[in-house]
Amino acid sequence: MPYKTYWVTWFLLLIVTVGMLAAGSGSLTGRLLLGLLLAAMVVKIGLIGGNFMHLRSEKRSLILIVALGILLVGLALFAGIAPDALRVLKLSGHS
Amino acid sequence: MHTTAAITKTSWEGGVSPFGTGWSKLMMWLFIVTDGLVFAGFLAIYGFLRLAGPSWPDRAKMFHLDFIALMTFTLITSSATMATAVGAARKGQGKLARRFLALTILGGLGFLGMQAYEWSSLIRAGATLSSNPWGAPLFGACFFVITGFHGSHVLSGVIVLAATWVRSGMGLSRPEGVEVAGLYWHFVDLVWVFIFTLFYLV
Repeated sequence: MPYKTYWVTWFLLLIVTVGMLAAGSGSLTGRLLLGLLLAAMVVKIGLIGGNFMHLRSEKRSLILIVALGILLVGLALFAGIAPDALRVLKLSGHS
Repeated sequence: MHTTAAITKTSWEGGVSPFGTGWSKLMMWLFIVTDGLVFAGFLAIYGFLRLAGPSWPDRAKMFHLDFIALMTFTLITSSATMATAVGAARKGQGKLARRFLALTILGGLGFLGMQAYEWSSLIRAGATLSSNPWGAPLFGACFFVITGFHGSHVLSGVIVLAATWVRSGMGLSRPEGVEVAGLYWHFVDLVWVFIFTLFYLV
């Protein structure tokens, strides 16, 4: 990968970070803010994983092991924990 | 007995090199996946506590976003210098690789210094593992455990990078050694993306 790619990636990461900071300290709230921040987070992860960690140029078998391993366990954790957390909130009478 | 058919099996059938990498790089990737799952567990617990609790401290009262932005800038820049060091090592430009490795180490030390400052500010303001002046008592436990665990990774990374810098100066480190150290460093940056978003912005 040429050196230029790394510094273009760095610049894009900075732009996304500044955008996240602006969104976080602006008037946006609730689900819209959360959705925007999570989308920006995914973009940053893609940039770091794909360009800095060279995952884009690795074999598909390695990409699948890394991406699916983390993604599936992350989703399983979320699916197992989020409903319980919301139930606790409801039981405590704050929802 | 190895036949040509056995050697040219597809990757998924366990061909000669299923992942097309050396063993050290593959082991680092497997470590990154498992370590990523540890962080996923921590962040899931944090998410549970925030969702299940009636309230959470106001981040504007606890954190200075400008300072956190500087920490983030430092870590992102150190990742770019690390990527350049890896690229230089791969191209056989040892001197350039060492120069960018040194810059990465400086970035890591800078980040650690800023984290120490942030921690000491919060501790001086009364935050502990079990209480804080801003509300939900479990905030301290979540914050110090997760950022502390990440900080310990940054410290380990700085040590690994320093060892790689010394070894490459002695001609003992191969390009793959720099690349493996780089993978670990980028992982540390990757985890910060989650912490930065979920702790400081949400």
